[in-house]
Amino acid sequence: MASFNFSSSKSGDITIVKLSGELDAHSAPEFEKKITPIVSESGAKVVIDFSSLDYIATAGLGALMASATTIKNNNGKMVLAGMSDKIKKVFQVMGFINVFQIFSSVDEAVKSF
Amino acid sequence: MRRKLITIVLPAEKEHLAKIRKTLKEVSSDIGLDDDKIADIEFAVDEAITNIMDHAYKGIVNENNIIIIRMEIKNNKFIIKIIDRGEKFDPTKYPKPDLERHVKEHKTHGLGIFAMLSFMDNVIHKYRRGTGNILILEKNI
Repeated sequence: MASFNFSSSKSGDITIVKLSGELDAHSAPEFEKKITPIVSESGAKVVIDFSSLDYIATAGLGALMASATTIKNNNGKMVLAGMSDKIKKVFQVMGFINVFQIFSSVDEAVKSF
Repeated sequence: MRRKLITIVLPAEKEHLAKIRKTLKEVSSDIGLDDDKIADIEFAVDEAITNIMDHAYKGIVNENNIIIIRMEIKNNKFIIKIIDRGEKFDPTKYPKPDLERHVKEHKTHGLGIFAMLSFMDNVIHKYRRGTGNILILEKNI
C-alpha cells in the first residue's frame, strides 16, 4: 500500500525535509515524531519539500501547523516548496495557503533564507 | 438509473486508509471522473472515515469496529455510503469552523468535517438503531 517517507538533508545551515508518498491520519504521527527534533532546534531553518508527496489529509495539515508553531517559538523559520496543484488546492480550501510561505521549488525556497 | 459499483468492509484501523483511497481512486477513474473530482472525493472520503475512526469508534480497534463503504452511481451522482456501528455521530451538525481564527490560533485539529463538506456536493447523515451511522457523500458527475 501507499507509504510515507520522511528524509532530510542539509544545504548549508538549512535542513531540507523531503516528504514522499501520502501524509494521512496514519502517517501523521510518524511525521510529527521526525520533524519535532528538527523544528525544536533554536533558530532552525527548514524547507519542506512537497514535490514527491501525493496526498495530504487534515491530520497532515495539523502536524504542519504544530511544527510551524514550534519553529516560530524557537526563533526559526519553516517554508514549503514544490507543491502539486492537488495539494495546493487542499491548502487553499482549508485556509492554509496564507499561513506558510510556499515556493515553487526547493532552490527558490533555500534562496529565501 | 442506479448502478452499484463496489462494497468494501474493513476494520476501523488507520493503516487501511491508504487502501481505501486507492480503491476509491480506481473506481472513480473507471467511471470516467476527471482528476479534480477524483482528488476531491479521495480527500472527502478519507476525512469522513478518519472521523468515524476517531469519533464514532473513539479510536478503539477491535473485531466489532468495522466500516462498510458502498459506492454506486444514481441520478448522475457518484454516491459513497459509509456505515459504521459506532456511537451516533452526525458530522453535518457541526458548525463551520472560522478558518481564519482556526489558523490564527494555531489549532491543529477540527478540520476534518469541514474538509468533507467542502469537497463533496452533498453530505447526508442518518442514524438507524441496529445499523448505526450512515453517512452519504455525493458528487455530481
